[in-house]
Amino acid sequence: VSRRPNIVVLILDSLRAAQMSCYGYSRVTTPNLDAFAREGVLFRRVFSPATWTIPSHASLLTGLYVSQHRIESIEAERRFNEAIVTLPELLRRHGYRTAAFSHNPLFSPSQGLGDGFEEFHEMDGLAGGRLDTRLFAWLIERLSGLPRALAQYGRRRAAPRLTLDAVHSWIARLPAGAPYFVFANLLAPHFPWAVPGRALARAQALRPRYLLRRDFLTLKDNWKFNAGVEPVTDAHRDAWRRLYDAAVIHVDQEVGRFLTRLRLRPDADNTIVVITSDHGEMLGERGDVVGHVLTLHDNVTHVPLLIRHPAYRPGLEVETIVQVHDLYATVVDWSDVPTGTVPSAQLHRPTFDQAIEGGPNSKDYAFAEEDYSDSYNLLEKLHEVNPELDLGRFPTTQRMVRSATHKYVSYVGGSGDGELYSLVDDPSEEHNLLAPGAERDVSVLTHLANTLSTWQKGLELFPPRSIASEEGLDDVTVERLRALGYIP
Amino acid sequence: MGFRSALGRRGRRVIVLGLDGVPFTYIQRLVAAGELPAFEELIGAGAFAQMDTTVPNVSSVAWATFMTGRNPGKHRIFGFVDRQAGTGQFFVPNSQTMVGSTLWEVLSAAGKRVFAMNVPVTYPPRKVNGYVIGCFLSPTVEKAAPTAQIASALTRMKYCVDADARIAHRDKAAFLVHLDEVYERRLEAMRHFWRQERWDFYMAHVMETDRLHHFFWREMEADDARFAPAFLDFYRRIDALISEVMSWIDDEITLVVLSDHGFCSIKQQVFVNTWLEGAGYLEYADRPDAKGLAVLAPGTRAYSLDPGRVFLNVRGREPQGVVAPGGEYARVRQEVAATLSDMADPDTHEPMVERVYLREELYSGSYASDAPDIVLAMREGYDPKGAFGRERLTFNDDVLVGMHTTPDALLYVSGIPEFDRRPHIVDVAPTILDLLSVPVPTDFDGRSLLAA
Repeated sequence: VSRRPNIVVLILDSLRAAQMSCYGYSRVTTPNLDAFAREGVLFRRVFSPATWTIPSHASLLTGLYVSQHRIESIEAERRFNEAIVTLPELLRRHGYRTAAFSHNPLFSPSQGLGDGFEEFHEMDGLAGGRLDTRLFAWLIERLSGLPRALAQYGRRRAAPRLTLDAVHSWIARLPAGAPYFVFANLLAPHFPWAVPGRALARAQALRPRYLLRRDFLTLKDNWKFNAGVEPVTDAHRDAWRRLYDAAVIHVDQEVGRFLTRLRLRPDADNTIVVITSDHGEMLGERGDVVGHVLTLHDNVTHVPLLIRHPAYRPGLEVETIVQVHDLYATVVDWSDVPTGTVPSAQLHRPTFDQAIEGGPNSKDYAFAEEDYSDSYNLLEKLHEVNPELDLGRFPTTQRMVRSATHKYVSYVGGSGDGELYSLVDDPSEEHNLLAPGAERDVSVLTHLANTLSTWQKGLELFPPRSIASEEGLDDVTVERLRALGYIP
Repeated sequence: MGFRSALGRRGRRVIVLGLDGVPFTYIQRLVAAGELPAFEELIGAGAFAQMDTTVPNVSSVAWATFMTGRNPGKHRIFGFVDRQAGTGQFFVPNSQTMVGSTLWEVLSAAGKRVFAMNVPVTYPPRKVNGYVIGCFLSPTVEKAAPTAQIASALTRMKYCVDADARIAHRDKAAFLVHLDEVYERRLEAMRHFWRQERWDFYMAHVMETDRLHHFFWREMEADDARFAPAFLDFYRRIDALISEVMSWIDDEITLVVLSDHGFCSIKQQVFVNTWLEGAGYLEYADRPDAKGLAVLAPGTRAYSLDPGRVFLNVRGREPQGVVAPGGEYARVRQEVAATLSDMADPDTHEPMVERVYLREELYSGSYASDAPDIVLAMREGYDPKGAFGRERLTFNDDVLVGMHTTPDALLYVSGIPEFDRRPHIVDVAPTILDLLSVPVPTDFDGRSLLAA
């Protein structure tokens, strides 16, 4: 590898590690990624710092935890603190060509996540991709009389290929020799699942009765389940599991096709490929939680990380705990760019290379956060769906520390004392050792609680800028103009 | 063959660079001192002259006059703040308030592709054949952009609508750093959009010079050890921009550079309403939370808004007007004008007012009736303020140290030996239309500066 390798990052949105055969899932869902892992490195213990797109992508691009950057509002009125240097910004400054491709409408410049990308392709239209896939999507959309749902299905189904084709042709168009950094989000594992028939068949999800049940086909109405308006049944869990499997099979196929094309490129030996996810998914598991909300369960925070790096030993599996936003320090290290302008807090996390070299370390911890006390007030939404719901039992803020053997989740607000799991005996986090009547291991609890609070206290904060949304002059503009003496 | 026929070919294009508040005499001085080599080269290749600007000499009035080629009585922008008819609430006029086709709208109608970025009073962007990116009045970058694509491009560049002047009140050194950053991003956007298309008309506006002057002009004049070098340094960066833009032009392209007013140090801020109160023309209502003109008691006969605009409280026009239109209006206005011309610096007893204009001396057109009744042209260094409720007439301990002047704007046009007369900012748009062989609308007040 040269000093300035090409770097391709694929985010397979909402993909939990537990659903992939290379992470020990009982069904073969990811044959292509399994093969990719065999020629690269697989990280077993990888955790996202957040549970949904915006904060998690903001972390990926900055190396910071959510409470440091606080880009976690869906109102699109926040921007990174001026001091933050995003990964593409830094690379671009030092000669990298940078581009983002996103099929997730929340990973978008309108959310302030486009900083530093020379090009940002939002793949919600039919742009990019090869002619045949574009034609297919166009036909599906335009054919008169087609119900809207079917058109949407066709569009979503084609999206992974359109996105990856667009990535490939962007790379192919670059002049030889210019190093590139491309960051693509494939929404496909995220509900509503739009999967081709073959993948459905392989997941044994080709069931006509699913078509009649919106509550099977998507988790979009997760509010109803989470607010207790509708019970989660085994039929739901079974349908969701199969459809999610099918979506994973589908994205695996598309990624496999892309990786083959990438491997055939002349610069393959100088290209590092990183495949990971921004968060996982709950399919009605523990406590009947649905979607990637309300919990820091491993199903939501434990995500895959596979890296093909020409200098890595093929087939290596790494047990060290890492976090997806360690990507920042790692890429900085790989690309060897000067970091003089980067706040040191952005480089605090260890690199993936260090994780490989260091081996498993009992001092390794992952941290994650879920916060409803700020602008993303999910509890309000639950209350809207079910006014009877006792909101008092939900914490407004949850913070997780996870070691190889234990997980502790602290609550702010809510009636519980938090959560503690001994993952060796209880990998699916069924038995909260902080529940009334449970036997708690005080020394483990104290240690984890201290680790969590030390971590939290040590975080350097980068408060976001806010951009106002009202028409005309907002307060900030008025203050700015007053400072100029324009307004008395 | 005169230069006009040489220039008037098909395919001619124009680049305009707006440099807010850059004084002609300051550039002259720096060029003479050999500090601005690019400017020096530029001046050698075209006509460069001192230019008059609008009264009042604020950016919104000056640039509205520039882009419409018409006087404020026609374009309806009289100041940075105005009062709403009926309610008497204050508002900030923007491109929606402005009446009349702009230079870029006239060019659009003639089929030209146009681009204008950051010119004051272009927020919200109006539609053209091409793009207008809005000015510092835009609350966000997204709103300054005419399309989502441009918004996304600007956001990626971390484009900044305007420097945040609040920083200067906390830390002047930090503000300089911030200003540099904003300027660099502005340049990045300028380059980006210049490369994007083969524009027939391209204009980019630099606001940072005005911001620099407001906070550092006095330090520059005093040769302050801390800030004067940084001030000069900023001008070297402007010179580098001139050099870069010169590298863009070829035989087909005419380069126009202009500013909208000059600058000088503030001796005193002058609270005109305090004078009017002392002279018995203004009374305050006892309503501390009142907004707009509601702060005034019904007995008020005259009040002032920034900068040096004086209005009578006219019955039927102001919400609590008392001065009857007609004879009483004329008499009170003469009285008020007379007392204002007596304003003197309380410390030095120097007169502070250069000239008192009655509105008909300055404005004509359909909206002349919205104009202030009296406008003050102040003597250099006396900055007229419209704040209400100030006890003292003058104040000179502000972070703001620079103020605008009227006769010292600049105009440059490449490829011609000289202008046919002393330019006024209203003449620039017709000159550009002339360069591009596009007919000048008949209601323009300005005339081309190219010799016939």
